[in-house]
Amino acid sequence: MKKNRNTIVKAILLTVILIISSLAASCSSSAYTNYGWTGSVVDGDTIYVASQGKLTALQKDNGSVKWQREIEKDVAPASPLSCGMGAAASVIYADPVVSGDTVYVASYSGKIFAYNTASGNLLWKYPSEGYVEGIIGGLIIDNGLIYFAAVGGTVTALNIETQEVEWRYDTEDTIWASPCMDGDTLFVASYDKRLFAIDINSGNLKWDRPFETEGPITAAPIYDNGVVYIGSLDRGIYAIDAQSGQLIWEFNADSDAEYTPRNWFWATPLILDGVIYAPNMDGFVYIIDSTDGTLITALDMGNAMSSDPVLNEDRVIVATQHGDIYSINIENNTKFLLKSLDLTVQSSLYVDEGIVYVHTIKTENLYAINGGSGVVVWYYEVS
Amino acid sequence: MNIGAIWDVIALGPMINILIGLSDILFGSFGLTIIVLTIIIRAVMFPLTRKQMNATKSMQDLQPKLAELQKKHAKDSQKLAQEQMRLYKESGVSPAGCLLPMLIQMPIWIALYQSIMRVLAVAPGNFLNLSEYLYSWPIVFKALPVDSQFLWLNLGTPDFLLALLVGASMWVTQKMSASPATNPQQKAQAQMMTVMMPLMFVFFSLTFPSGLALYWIVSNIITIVIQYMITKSWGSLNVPKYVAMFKGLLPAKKGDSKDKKLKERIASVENSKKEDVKALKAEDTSDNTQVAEEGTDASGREERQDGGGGRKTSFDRAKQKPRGSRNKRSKRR
Repeated sequence: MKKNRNTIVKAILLTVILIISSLAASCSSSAYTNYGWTGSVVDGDTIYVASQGKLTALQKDNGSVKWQREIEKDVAPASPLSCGMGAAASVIYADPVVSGDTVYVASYSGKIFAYNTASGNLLWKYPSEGYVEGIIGGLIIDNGLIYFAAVGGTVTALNIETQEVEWRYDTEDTIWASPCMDGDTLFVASYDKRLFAIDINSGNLKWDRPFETEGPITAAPIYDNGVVYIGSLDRGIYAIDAQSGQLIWEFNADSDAEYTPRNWFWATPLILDGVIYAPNMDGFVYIIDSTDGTLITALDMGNAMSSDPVLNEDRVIVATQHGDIYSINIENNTKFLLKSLDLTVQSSLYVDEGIVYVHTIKTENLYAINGGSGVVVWYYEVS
Repeated sequence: MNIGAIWDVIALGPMINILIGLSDILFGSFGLTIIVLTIIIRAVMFPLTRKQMNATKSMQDLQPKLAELQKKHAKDSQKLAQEQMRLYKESGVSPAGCLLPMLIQMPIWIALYQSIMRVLAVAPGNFLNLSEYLYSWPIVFKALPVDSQFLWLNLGTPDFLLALLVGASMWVTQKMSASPATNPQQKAQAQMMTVMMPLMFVFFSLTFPSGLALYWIVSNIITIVIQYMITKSWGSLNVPKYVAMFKGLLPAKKGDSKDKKLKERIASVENSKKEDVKALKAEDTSDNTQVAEEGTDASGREERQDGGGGRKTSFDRAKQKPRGSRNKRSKRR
């Protein structure tokens, strides 16, 4: 009898240990962890940074906190055992956007929040109850409407005043990339390898059929002078006619160039005076002539890059995932190491008045770095 | 190079690239890819599996001798351990032989789990990290993203039905491989393992992406087939009992209703036979009286119309073979 009781106790103990250890193993495993890669935005004398579960407004000059708000943790329909796989509460991928006296934040759990820039008070949230599909790409605000693409493939035009949907278009694809707007056209790239051109007045497609690449697209399309440029995970950069959706040129791994990309174009390239600066996950920044797609040169940064580059006066600023911040002189295409942060950088960079703002993930800090000297002006521990 | 980097190079990198490349060959179906990859892994590991099963079987065969030793040296645990080791050595059995293949499979599970998580982009941040594992094969870049839908499953999220199937298949493998218990304590332990292991895997399946559960199911089915082929037995799994239980859950078939009707008919015939016997006895009593009277009065001997065989009952008629079958038999003769 006593032996049986011991066996039962052992069994129960073993079960509990197994449950706890498996939960710990699965939920703490890096493979399950959802780190957002949201950046920051400056408006006036304030910089806004979203992080996991928080939106913080900081004084741009010294990094002191003006206000901080908890971003509502949605009760997403994720199983308690799913370790946040269904929809991680308050994880933010999209950069915050400021328009007028409102700062907007979109969450991966599928909600858009509007806060007053001065007080930090929550003005409204969409939807007010429940949630839409998760949002990874950023928001575009234009003429009283918010345009956004959700992970599930729907592109929505939302009226800011009424918080009602003006139109909605279902691409039936997965969308991670931020949309890009020019005039009355919204360009939306999908994880399912396609690029759509949507008429913002009607919500209908403009091209006969979407443009297709051979790999998923996570970078936002960029528009310049009648041409849309996209980077793809098939290791290619494409130039597409914005009117017809026809391919103009393509630069890819098979190109006859001195350097060819060996990995993904995850980050959104930067275009400047007919030159494209495209960071790649192979550690090189490919500098391409935007007129014909020929490679001008490639600069080795040593590590993978997934952050969107920015322009600081006559310098292009890029960041590697390992936290090395480089400055590229656009006159002679030479690189200069501004700062090594030794922290993970995946968020897009932001520049304002010669200061580069870098949001690191995992250890969440916001750095204000002098774009010329590389000196850290201040930093704020977000988490 | 730290251990994480070594793991990435020798396990995770190859697993991820094979999965992606294979999925492109297999019509972009990631579910099919997992099934085919499981079969390949199990085929590669077949020599080890066979060794493990043979070792398990040998261990099972040794159980009576071990039980004897336990009885003999119940009070001297050191002597018991020595004798057990001697027995293992003499029989050429290594207890570790049962565990080694299982331990070798563990890294494969972990690599597969991590690969599935990354390839299916369960968390966007982890898909981003996938790039550092990709080889420069063009097929790898064009095969992404893989299709996470397979049958009714989203392979990136847990599935309840699949978790139950993992538990059921795991339970069968446990029952098949369980050693016969030599004492009540061992029996309790064996029973606990038979229940605990499937429960544990059900729990894992509810926690991890169903792509991994799919791997476990296919792997378990392969184990069941190999185990049966090698041992020619279902182990402690009482197959007829479960088949009967399963049949009991199913609606009666046509053939079953025929059998039932036949049984009912036989029962009714037997009842009528009993009635006939009763009636006959009653008739015989009265007939005997009459015959005795007639025999004495008319011929002095008993007259039997049925040639001495007695009166034919309905049961006797029912026992007769149908004409058709009798004719066939006579034709064969």
